[in-house]
Amino acid sequence: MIGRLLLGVVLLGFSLAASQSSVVQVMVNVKSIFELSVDRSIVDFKAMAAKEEKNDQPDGEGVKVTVKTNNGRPWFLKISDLSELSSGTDVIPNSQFTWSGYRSKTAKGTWFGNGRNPFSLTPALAYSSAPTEYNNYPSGTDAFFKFGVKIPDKQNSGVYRTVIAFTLTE
Amino acid sequence: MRRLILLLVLAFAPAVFPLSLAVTQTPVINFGDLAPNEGEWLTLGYSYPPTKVDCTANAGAWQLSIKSTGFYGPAYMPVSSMKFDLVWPLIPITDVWTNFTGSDQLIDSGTLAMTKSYSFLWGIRIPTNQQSGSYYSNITFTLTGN
Repeated sequence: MIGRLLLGVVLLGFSLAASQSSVVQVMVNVKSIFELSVDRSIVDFKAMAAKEEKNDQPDGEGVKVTVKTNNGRPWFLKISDLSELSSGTDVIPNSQFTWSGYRSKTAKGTWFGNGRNPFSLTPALAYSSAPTEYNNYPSGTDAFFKFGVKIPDKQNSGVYRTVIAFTLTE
Repeated sequence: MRRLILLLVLAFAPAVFPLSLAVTQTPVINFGDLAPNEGEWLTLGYSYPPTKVDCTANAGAWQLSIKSTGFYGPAYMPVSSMKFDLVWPLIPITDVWTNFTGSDQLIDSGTLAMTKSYSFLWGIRIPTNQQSGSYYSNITFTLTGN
């Protein structure tokens, strides 16, 4: 009886494995990227006569606006102008100044432009991101904008300017 | 009855495998703020001294392994983004970076009693499309004897 008990204890002793562990913590902060870029700085309608209308400017694909973010949240692209087209005290009302456009072929979000849309001083929603674009870095998402203006009948001559603003929010 | 008790004590004595493992100098590896696709190598003499791991095994076979289970954060980040370089006791200092795999990775092993110190450097490369935010991980050193 004593002999059998001893054998069992010896086997148990050799099957034990010892182990020691120690843990080191790791931390890293991945920087936020939230970028909005425009591929040109001027849209020039050139000389126009009263009553004349020009649309879909500039030629080609239009003004390319690119959004890049890695924040993982929904984002929205809006458009407005900071003032009506003006030359001194003379003004071409926003009702005569329009924007239009389209999303790129690879964009998956929603385009909110409806044909030619009159500008407003309040940012208007142009594009909202799809979930796959919440983090679209580094390729980004492109949208293209074109502009139109109709010169009123009795508009005074002059060089009329405004600033178009693209606003990115999330 | 007295003879039986004495035999039990002797049987247990060889089965206890004395090991010690101590990590010093780097309680937290902080890579700081990094942009996507940015890398950071915490090398000797710069941001940190190397992480020193002191090991003792008094008898029998032993092995030292390292493991990181992955990152906790706002989105998935592959554990292979992080890597280590064993710079000591290898001479000359190596520049061989090994990616973490998520499993135990063998660092060293032996069959004789030993007291050794190892030094590790740490590196990371943020994936190009990594979501922003704070990420955390643990690196576990394990010294096993049997």
